[in-house]
Amino acid sequence: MGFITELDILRKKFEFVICDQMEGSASVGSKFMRRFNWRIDNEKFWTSPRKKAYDPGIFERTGMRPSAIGGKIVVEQVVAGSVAEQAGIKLNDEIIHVNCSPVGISSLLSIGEIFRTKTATSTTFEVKREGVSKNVSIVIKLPEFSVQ
Amino acid sequence: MIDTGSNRTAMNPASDFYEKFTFTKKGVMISNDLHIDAEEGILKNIRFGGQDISNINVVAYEFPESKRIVGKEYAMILGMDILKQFKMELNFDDGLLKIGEFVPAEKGWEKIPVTIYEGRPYVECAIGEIEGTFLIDSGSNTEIRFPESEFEYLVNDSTIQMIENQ
Repeated sequence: MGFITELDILRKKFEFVICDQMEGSASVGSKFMRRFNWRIDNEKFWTSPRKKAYDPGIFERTGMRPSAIGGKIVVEQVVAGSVAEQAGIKLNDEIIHVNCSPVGISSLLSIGEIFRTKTATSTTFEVKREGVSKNVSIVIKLPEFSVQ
Repeated sequence: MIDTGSNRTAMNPASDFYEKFTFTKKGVMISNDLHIDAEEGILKNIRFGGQDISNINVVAYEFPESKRIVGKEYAMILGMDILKQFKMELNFDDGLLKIGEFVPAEKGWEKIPVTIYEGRPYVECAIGEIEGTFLIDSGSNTEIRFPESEFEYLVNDSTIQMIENQ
């Protein structure tokens, strides 16, 4: 995973666009599409700027990526220097509670929603690491990724 | 899942709907640029956005990433074959998919030049001096995605800067 400092698309320039790799066509995905509202009529497309500011998701805000793995919500990726790493989140931490509410597989989207709707708010995660529970508080803000 | 990157509507064999549906012939679905042979059948009726659609051809297709991304299986992918039958708005401000009549050219909306190839929408883009065509893929859980060879090329010439992982 990486980022492009400037991308010219849809007749506009965008800075700091996250990109990754996969077989198939080069594509703009749903996380990019969220920067606009879209209208589709037959095979014609229109865009309109969002009334609310574009709000990045859990990864962009914290630098950690939780995934549903083996019936658990597990931290699959932590970016060096991110707020998640600074708060003490580690790779393979299992997320048990968020703000004292239990977390199940079906609530992965709800976790994302917490990060989309709050800024500069301390969110407490109870994580299990090597069988031991631990509370970690993350203050949500825009990311400070380290770059090779 | 609303998937502008899929030319076909597909049913997930892992969903509860699958056992109640009969696939009768061979079909082809384009996903990640691969032409995938798939079982195909006719869905007599589907209610979508409060509207009924009849006799939709669907293919059986597994969505390997869906459970990892959202923690549960999608029942179906609604591909461009269905989506192009509607005037629809993906309104991310309100978190709504709006279906019905609207005036596309009204103030604040900009038509974007899209090329349809094999039933899927593509748009032009430029990264510095490099120009290319990108698939508009609402079914991809990413911002921008490159084929591996292009990604490596762009990393090597420092157009893409890597994010360091643990």
